[in-house]
Amino acid sequence: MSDDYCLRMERVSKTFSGVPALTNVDFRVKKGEVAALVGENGAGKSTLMKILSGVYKYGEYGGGIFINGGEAKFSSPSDAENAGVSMIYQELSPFLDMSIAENIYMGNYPTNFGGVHWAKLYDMSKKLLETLGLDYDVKMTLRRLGASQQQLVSIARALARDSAILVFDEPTSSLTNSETRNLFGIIKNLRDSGKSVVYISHKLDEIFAVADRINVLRDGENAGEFETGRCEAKDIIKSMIGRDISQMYPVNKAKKGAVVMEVKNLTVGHPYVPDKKLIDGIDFSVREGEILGLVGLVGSGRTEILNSIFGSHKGNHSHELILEGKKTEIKNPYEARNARMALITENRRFNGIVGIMGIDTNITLPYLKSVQRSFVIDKRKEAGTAAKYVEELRIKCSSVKMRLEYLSGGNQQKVVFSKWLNTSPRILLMDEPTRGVDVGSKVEIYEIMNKLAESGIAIVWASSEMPEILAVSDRILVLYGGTIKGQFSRGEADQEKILALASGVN
Amino acid sequence: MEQREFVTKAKKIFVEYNTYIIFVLLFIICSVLSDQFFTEMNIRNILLQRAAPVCAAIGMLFVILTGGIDLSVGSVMAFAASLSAICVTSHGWHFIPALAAGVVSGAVFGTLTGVLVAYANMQGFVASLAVMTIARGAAFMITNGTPIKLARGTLNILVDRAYFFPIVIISVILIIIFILIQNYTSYGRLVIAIGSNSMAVELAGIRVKRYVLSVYMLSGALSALGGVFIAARASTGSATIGSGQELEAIAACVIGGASLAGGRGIVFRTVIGVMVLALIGNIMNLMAIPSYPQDVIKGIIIILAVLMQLFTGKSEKNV
Repeated sequence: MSDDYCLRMERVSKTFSGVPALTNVDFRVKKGEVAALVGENGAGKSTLMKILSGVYKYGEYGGGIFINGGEAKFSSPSDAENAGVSMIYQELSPFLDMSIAENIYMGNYPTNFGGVHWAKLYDMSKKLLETLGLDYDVKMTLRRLGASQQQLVSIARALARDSAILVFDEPTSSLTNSETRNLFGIIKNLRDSGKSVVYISHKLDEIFAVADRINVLRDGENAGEFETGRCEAKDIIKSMIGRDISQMYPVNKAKKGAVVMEVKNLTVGHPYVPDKKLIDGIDFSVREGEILGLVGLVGSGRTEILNSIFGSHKGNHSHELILEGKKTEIKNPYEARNARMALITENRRFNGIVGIMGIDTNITLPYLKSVQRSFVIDKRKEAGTAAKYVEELRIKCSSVKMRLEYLSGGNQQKVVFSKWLNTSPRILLMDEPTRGVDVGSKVEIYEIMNKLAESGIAIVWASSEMPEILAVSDRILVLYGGTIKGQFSRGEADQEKILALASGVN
Repeated sequence: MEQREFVTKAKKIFVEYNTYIIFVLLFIICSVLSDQFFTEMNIRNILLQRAAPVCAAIGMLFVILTGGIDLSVGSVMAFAASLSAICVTSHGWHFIPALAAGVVSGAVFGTLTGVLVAYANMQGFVASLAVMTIARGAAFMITNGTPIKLARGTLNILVDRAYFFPIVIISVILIIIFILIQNYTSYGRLVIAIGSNSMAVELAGIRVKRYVLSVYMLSGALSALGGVFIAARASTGSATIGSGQELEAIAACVIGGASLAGGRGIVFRTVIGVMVLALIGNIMNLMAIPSYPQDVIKGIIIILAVLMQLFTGKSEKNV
């Protein structure tokens, strides 16, 4: 084996409580090369990088990491840093209230007489930033810099530690186009000066612009390796997907009725970059009995769209909402519920369920009136309501009083469905409803969706799992760069076409 | 095997009823230590004395259930007591409207705290700390710092034996009402839910802020009522009463098994928590222990009671 590879990860495997996340993955980077790591959400990219950066300690994974031919056994992220592996995360800004210089040389200050040699520190920082073509006041606090500038400081920090291997994890998610081009220039300079760069991204256009070699991961395994000059986007996409849609997905047979909801000119500000828009004026509508899917990569604004409609998005946003032909303003979830909307959130444990309360009390929570007589909760009626949903949606439990925290993910999600069904909604918004749910429950959830559509409910949902959103939705909208890049009816588009659109490849 | 089953069962009973068990044990210990303890006069004294802390503790419990805290309790008591006394003495009001004025003033202070917490996103600790200072200062302002003596036949009717000790009766009625509110109304349900996961409750279309505001208002009103009770017992309205009452109320909630993180706590057990503190204070008085060591001993007993809660709470999962 030739050792012009500065980094070799060989036969790396990792399981989480019995579920394999990585299986015998090989990954190599040469000196003076940019190697891209791509794959769908959940393909194992971040797990692999957490192993490389020492987050998962030596011994917690199978296989080995070799740096310049010698095996590296990291037991902490600082071990990895000392061995020359630096991670540049998207929002890595560790000490916002310290100066740029302090951040760059954190833990490594030049000293004289036992104290920090400030003049030398500032001088060294300034020179280092100059090599990146930056001219900042190094005494300024990091907080005063924008997200992209902070990211450049973290690159400087990696250079200060003389790291040979730099890992960029989705570095452009909060950058504008010109900042992105600037970053690519810096990355190429780093490569030409002999550094090894690992570049992780969903965005294929970026990968083609910056990488020399592309490694594809799929379901925790190596799925292909390509030289940038000798392949096309569609080869990469094919290798990223590579699986069939089986009979797992029941088809929605509901008759489509009138338009229930129309969203116009929906705009959402970017959470970190004040003058950038995450979603830039999109329009769409959904009909009775229709299942509308929102497709987009992480950070494409799916969650923000759903929360804006429901009145629960905290950041800047604006849109016009027309419900059943009537212009309606929804400022908070209370008004949304009264307008007969429902939202199933992305993070169930965090904001979907009340873990220490029972199935019955969770189900009646959004609409206690349904089991109330004047001011008093009719507990028998409440138990009856809960029992009805437990039976209808086949929630597995020992009693309706069972606490939600003791239920499995799939059953918790069914309780979340139940609580909204009890409000008899007209519009159901769902964000990743099958996340953390076992395969069997997933199918049940698709069936529930179809049943709801048949009863005339309009569904708008988002999912990162391409196969499911393509198969279950009647219509899908593809999001990229804040706008709708394409719209397809069921069967009109294949995964390749959509993934290409969603990755910004035209 | 049978023995082990018995142990688990005993454990379960202990976990479920630990507050009550602590209370009963204390009661027995008190009866043994002093023959003046279990007398009609002493029990009556305890009940009259604890009417005010019971009110404050119930209000505090609702605040704690939402995950907040109200430090203004003692000061609000002082303001309400002073205000009611002034209404009676200087303006010649009947004692009932005077009492109502006191309670309303407490609700106003509570609303102030509540608005700061719910709508200005201030922490309950900080907001109520500020209101605590304001209320105490205001109490001194309206009384000019001098205690206001109440004439016979006014507020002291509230502690009159001839009327069956109204403050005790009112407290018992309030306890029953709040037990019902907690168990059978959507208000009680939502307050607990907000303390467990306010994000989930808000996304379920509940106007969480209103509920958060309301618990502080409730705590203010109930504390004020307690303040007027204290004035009635002492026949004096003074700006110095109620100091340390907020901590007693918090201690009662915690001894009653409430979690300061919110979402856990029961009205009746909180009342028993108040009574546990009452017994500790009472028996030390009967045994003529000087007041400084009393505080030290009380603090230690609170620690022990809460530790017991924590240990049994931990084993809850194993039962």
